[in-house]
Amino acid sequence: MTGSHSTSGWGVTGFLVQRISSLVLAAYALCLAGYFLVNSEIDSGQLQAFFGHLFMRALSLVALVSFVAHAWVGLWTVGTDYIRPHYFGRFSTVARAIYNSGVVALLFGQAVWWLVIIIRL
Amino acid sequence: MTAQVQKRSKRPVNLNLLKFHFPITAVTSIAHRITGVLLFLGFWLLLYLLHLGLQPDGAPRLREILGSHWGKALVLVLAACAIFHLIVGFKHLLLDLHIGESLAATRRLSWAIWLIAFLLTAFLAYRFWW
Repeated sequence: MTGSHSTSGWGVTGFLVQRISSLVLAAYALCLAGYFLVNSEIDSGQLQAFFGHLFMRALSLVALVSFVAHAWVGLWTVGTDYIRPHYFGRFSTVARAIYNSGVVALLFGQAVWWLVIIIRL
Repeated sequence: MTAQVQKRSKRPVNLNLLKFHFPITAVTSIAHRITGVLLFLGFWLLLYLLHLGLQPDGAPRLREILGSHWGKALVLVLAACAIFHLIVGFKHLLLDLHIGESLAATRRLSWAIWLIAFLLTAFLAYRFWW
């Protein structure tokens, strides 16, 4: 993990994950944006019907996996690029480990919450 | 570490970010990163809003948040980040297909991204705020 864009052998995988997940997230975001722009006045029942539809539940699940993968690759790259010995000296390895653990913890929390929302629908 | 590398690593490094000149492509690239990080952090708010929206008794709290200025501002900033991040992402996909790779083209694309993102955000603010 020395080069700024080295993914220690995971370069091509990370590249592909980032591209494929971006397409899923774009589709999901545009789908939601379109729905909320057309239906700006909705109650919880209508929102439940929309997100509870089998198609939307499946799409939400795929989007959840894509979000976690996309955010992880992106945030890992950001951490690897900026938390370096040049800025952090000999603490850079520890600092990067803490940063990565924090990212994983936050992503895990978001994934669990999202999953609970999907399951409860 | 060899003596040569040690000697080289002691040379002064000028990485004063305030003294750099950043071309529009670099500004767009760093903004892509910043908006990505902000979307990751702001995702808690979006999850909370969705959680409230799906609760039968969540409407008052939801109305309170989306009716307040800070709530609107936060959601609008996140929406602006999403719009910008999405459009720069499209540019990356175009570059992957070897479209717009020349320096002139990629500069034009970067300016176009800021313009389109600004217009879409302004439209959203107009729909959302008033």
